[in-house]
Amino acid sequence: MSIHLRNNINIVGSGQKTMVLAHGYGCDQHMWRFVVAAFQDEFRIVLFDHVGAGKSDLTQYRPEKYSTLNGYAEDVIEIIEATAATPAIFVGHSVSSMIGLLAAIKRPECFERLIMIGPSPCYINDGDYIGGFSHADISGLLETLESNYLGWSSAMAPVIMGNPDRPELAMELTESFCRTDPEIAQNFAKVTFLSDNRADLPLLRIPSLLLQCSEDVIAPPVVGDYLHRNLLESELVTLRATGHCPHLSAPDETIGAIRQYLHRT
Amino acid sequence: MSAAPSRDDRLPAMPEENVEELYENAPCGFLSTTPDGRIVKMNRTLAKWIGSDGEGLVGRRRFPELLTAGGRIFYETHFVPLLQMSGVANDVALDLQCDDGRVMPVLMSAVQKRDESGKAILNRITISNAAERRSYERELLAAKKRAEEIAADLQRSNLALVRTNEELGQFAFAASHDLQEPLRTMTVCSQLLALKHGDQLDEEAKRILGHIVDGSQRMKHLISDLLSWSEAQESSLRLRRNELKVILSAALRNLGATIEQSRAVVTHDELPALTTDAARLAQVFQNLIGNAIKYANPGTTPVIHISSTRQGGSEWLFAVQDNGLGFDPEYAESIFTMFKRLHGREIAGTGIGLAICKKIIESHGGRIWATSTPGVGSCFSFTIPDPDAE
Repeated sequence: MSIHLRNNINIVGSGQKTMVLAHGYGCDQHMWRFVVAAFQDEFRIVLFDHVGAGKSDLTQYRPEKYSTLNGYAEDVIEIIEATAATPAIFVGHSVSSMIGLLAAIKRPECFERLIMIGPSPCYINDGDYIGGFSHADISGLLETLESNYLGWSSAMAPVIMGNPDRPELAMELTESFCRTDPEIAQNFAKVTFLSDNRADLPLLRIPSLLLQCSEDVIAPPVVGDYLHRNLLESELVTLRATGHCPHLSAPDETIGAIRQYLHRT
Repeated sequence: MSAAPSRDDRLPAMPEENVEELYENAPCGFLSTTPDGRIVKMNRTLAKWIGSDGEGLVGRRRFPELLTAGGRIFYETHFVPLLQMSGVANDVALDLQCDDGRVMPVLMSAVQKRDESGKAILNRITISNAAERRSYERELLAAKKRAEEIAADLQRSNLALVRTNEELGQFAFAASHDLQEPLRTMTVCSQLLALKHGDQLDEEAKRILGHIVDGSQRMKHLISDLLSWSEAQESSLRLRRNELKVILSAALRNLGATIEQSRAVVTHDELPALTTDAARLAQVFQNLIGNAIKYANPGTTPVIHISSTRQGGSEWLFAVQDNGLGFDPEYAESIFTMFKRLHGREIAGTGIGLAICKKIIESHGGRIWATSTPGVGSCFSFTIPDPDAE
């Protein structure tokens, strides 16, 4: 089985260095379109979908492998080995920040820099640690997922889209973005929001940039501060942007922060 | 005839609609937010649902704060990215967290208003009450899960049954096959004993030796029938298009001596050509006709007729009718089970013959059954599918 098909790898742009873009929970590589446009003249950009998301090969989804973030981290290492000759700049959104962290701890030689957008090492509150959510909240998310996918088969998953203003993109999104297999969506939600990677943070030896939104219910600023305190050689930038997807809602600011960091370090 | 009256004249008078009033009191909630979720405007219906003063929220609250925590995650990870990428999101199921602590299931649809440069200005969201719909959906979902569990259970037990069946068949085959060898030794030795040392044996010993020879003969039949039964698997059928006339002749040839001795009269209808395993089907005819002769009324010539009827387009019905002893209809089903015998030793038999017939017919996809009037005769019927017929 080719890794390229398994993870729907697409390579665009050109440059000496390779930039790997890893989408987060709930979406696929389409999320990166502004970032791709901004960096494709400077970097060779590797895009992919995590197994279970987008146009990845769903037949490769093995619950035992993907029941922890390590399964996804293994895939990231394989993707970098298969696509990059030199250490790569890894940009991870949301849960992919921690997937990148795990991969970089295991195989530091594959990574030059880690850029984390809206990262969180643990979403659940635990004693003094504030992650933003309780176990009950995550159960609520799983119920919401069930209502939206209705637990139907993936072929019948409801189309969360109507008459779009960009028909060609909409077609693609309907095909991939919104049609994740319901069971995989549930599992990915569980592994994303119930993982606790706080103990892994001090093990990272690769420099990192943390992009924190000024308001983000999923990864609040206290979480960004926590990461910054616990990651060696990390730089924390708080964006004016709000929400959880600044690379979509405030692409210019996000791209600017990434560019500044890469040119400075 | 005058010209038709103009349209306006024909329409009845209409009440006036007030767009502003419609916005405020529509049967659904209207909400406008900035692209990052800050509330710009909401209608009275939505404010009433939430239980607060709509004006008070404007500019101060972000819309996701009005959702349950789980819903907030879905909003940020699915709803917002989709709206930003495609400009539209329809029928998203979320829960409003109302001020009095109530949770209200809603369905949301949204469009993103953008300026000429494509920059997002507003998210316009309609929100409808989905409390009842959500409960129907949950019921459907629960029913679907139950059905899936039942189906999975059935599949598991089916697999287990198939496996057990296969093992049983293999066991019967191995056992009957391996029993043949020691039996052969016993038969040969007892025959040798009678032949070489018979003159040295007294009457008592000869009688006992006779029992041993008889017993091993019976056991030989039993084992060979068991083997036939265990070999009659669907997977081992050698199917060809055969003239049933030819198959029946083969069966009658095998029964030659029996028919001759009993002076039985065997007649048959015109028989079709069908896709069957010739050797196995001959065995069915042989067992059924053999039984008809074996269980004849003492002192009566056995008269046996094999009829053949086309049933619908897809199968043939065959019946072997005799004028023999018959049996109590109470046993019509159990006679097809293994080792079931209605008679004692006075009539020879292993009790496997009809079980073999049943297995062969069923492996052909047919059915077999029997009817009888004691003292008048029996009728054994079976069907053979004929999928080739138009």
